[in-house]
Amino acid sequence: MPEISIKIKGQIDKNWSDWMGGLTILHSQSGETVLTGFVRDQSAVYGVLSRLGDLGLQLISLNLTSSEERNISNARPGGDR
Amino acid sequence: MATPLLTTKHFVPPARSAQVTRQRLMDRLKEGINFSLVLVSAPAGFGKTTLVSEWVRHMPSPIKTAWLSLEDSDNDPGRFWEYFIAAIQTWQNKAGITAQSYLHSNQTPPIESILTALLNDLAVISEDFVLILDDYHFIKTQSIHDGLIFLLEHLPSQVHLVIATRVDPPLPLAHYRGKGTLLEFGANDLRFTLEEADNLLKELNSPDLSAEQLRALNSRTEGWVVGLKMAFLSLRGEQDISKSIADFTGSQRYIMDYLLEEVLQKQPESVREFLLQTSILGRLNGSLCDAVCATESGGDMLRTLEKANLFIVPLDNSRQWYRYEHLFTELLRHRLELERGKAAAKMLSIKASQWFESQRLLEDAINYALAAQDWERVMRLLLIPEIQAPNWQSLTMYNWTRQIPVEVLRSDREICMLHIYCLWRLGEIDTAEIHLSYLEKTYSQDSQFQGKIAATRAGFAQTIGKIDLFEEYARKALELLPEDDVDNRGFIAMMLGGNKLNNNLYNEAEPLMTEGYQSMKKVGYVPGAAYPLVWLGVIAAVRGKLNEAEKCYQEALVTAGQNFPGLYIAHLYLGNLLYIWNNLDGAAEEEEKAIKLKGLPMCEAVEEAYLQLASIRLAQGKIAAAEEAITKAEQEFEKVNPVSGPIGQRRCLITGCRLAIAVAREDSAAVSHWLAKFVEWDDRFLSNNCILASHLLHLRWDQEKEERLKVLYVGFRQNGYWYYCFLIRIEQALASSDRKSALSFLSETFNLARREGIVRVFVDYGKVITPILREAISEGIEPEFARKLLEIIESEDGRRQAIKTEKTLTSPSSEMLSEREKEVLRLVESGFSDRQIASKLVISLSTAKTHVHHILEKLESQTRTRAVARAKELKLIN
Repeated sequence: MPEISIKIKGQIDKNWSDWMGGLTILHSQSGETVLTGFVRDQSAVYGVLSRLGDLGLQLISLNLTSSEERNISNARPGGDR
Repeated sequence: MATPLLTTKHFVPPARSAQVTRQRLMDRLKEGINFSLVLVSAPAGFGKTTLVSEWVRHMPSPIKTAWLSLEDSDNDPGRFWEYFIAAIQTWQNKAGITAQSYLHSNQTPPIESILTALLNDLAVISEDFVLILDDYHFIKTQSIHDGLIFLLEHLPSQVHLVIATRVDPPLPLAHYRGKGTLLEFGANDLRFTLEEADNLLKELNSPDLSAEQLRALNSRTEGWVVGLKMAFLSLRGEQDISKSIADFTGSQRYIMDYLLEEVLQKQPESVREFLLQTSILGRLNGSLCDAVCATESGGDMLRTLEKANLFIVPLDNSRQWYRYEHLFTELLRHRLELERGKAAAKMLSIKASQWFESQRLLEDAINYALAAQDWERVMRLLLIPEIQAPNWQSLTMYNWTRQIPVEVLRSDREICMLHIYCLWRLGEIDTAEIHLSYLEKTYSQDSQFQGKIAATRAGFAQTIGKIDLFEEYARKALELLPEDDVDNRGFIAMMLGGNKLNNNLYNEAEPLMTEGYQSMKKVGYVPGAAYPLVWLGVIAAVRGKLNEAEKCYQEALVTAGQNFPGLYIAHLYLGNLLYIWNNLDGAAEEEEKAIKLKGLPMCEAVEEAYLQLASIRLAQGKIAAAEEAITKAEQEFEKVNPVSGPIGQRRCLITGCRLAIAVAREDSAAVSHWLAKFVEWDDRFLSNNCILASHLLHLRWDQEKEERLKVLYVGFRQNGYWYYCFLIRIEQALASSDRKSALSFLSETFNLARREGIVRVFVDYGKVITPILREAISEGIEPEFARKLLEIIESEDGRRQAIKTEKTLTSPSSEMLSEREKEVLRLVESGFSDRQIASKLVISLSTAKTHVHHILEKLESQTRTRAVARAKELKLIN
């Protein structure tokens, strides 16, 4: 399952989690919200994005890591150092 | 579509009680009528609908407008275009009637045909016309986007489309920008300026603010109008405004989370409760709200909300229906679930579903039942005929059935079949087959249901072009299906009958077509009965009952409506009949009507109509027109799916017609060329059209041919194919070496010919048949009839001679060369080789050669140089 991290402007209440594909909602010091967690697939990602759009929220960044990539980065030599 | 259209979707949203005129945007929007497409694309709450509707309300009167508010359920292309056309008809009620009738037909034509019909109607409108599609982001169906692209490509210049959407639509926007046909408004254009924010504040009767405070709010909301409005509303009745503003602007919370709480807190308990409970509704009216909230003052409450500017939009002039602004709905629903839980929200949806059912607004009832996940309710509603019939195999139906969990879906075989039919229509036959196998196993003891399964499988086989498999399942279906299942039996019988006809097995086809005809009548589908009726006419004609055949064709023409396959074959075969009766003008008219149906469902290729037209033109002495028609027939023939027709027969007929044309042109080289091809065909392809060429066969009369004719005759007589027997008898009359038996054959043909009015078959033999006709007259065998035939032949021959003389005396007219040939000739003049011509015109080398050959021939020139010189003499080229 891919892992996602979406950063948006402003702090949305944590109780929106259910409506945002169950992603964890974190607030940063600088007044942003980060939604993170695992998503089923790409269509789940688009679902969350369209929700954010419906609420008129502003997207700052989006990062998606597939499980293969995680394995590769974990296995990278010198990764422990 | 039988479902009534919601007129509220065509209603231009009225001015809000608190609305700011945004002059800078209005000025730019006015430019919109210089563009094909105006795109207003910004996230929720930026005031797109308000802006565009204000423009529409202030449109100068010569410019016409129409509005369409889209929603999720418009993702079915049939429904989308239905509403689209209905929007245009709100001011131009005659536009799109043809397109609409196509949409309503049982075999919906490709979208290009529908839109072409619509564009034709739009092209004749002289006024500027603006059509607004609001909330286009709801549309996710690719084929709708494709249709819109097609429409935009061909849009007449006085028609303008406005799309208001939260996301850019998947149209080639960059291309439109490049062409300069697109006017765009984005979020940054729509943000409120300080001045506009100030005006809004005044309109809302909110407390006065200092310039500093206003700037702070506008900057916190970034000119997002829904945020601004919410902020202003939250300040109403606030004691300490400075503190409120400081708290709000100092907070980092999402402004809607923050403000909704503020606004809701300031409402009386009853209003707050009402807002939360009705948030599940897409549109609201008083009675519906009462049903959902168990109150009695829903209507008053809605008007109160409107006065208080609480994000509610009226959907009609009489203030019956409203909706909340979309963003507001989202926020309220979220709050409802948080405060009351999901189960409570579902309960509200069930109440809404019940109310809609009581009003017979069944589609809404289904949608709310789906939202409540009340599957039992969903399935009960889906089986109501008012829902099933108009949505049969539609995307709308599929969007309902696919939401039902598989185990629930399979628990009801009727519902599961509905889903399977949708999958079939969508081409998902593999998935459909999985469900079908499950049902087959589960209901293995129910032979009637097994019949239904076999019928469905026969349909699958037909779709994928497996004829053997089709026959097998169709037979099985007819065995198992009960007599009273007329619907299924009828379709299967017709498809099976069609296959028999393709193989000229008329006697086997007849009972099947009769069953199809009677079934369609029994289920009350009159247009559907036209198709088998025409075939019954054809079968009658083969049996020598031409008058009876005509009755079938005429009745089919009256009843076919938008049943395109039925309509096509009715024109085709009536034309054929009129030809045989020597009503050439009437015949040509019918074939031209048939050709006009090209492109409609199951009329993709109209080669037979062109083929028939070629014979008619030839009989009329219009050789060039005959050649043109036969060339078209050949082109159409290329499109014919090889599994779907009696290919050999049609190819043989085309060859025969080519041969007849060659004879008429007295082109001996072409005659021997086509004759050689023609004799390759088997005698079994003998049919009524084929007579055109068969008179040439006297060139090769021999004993063997006489024997073969005898065998054929016996076969046809056994089957009762009396028209074919008649054709053979004429051949025999001409072939017989013994004068007495020749006259006896001829006399036999006269019996049927007089009774059924057959003329053309004799006349097409021309000079070949005149000696024996004269003999018949002198022997007193039907002398009047024979004389009549003789007169027609002589007058036609005289006419042909006259044309020929005229041609040699006067110079050829400019129509002598086709447009294509003139094009080729100009290239020849410029010194192009055949190969260069081929590549220039994107045609094959052999086609190029044929064109050049024809040109040389027509200009009676041996060389290219000579042909060019001659063409100049005749002023065919400059």
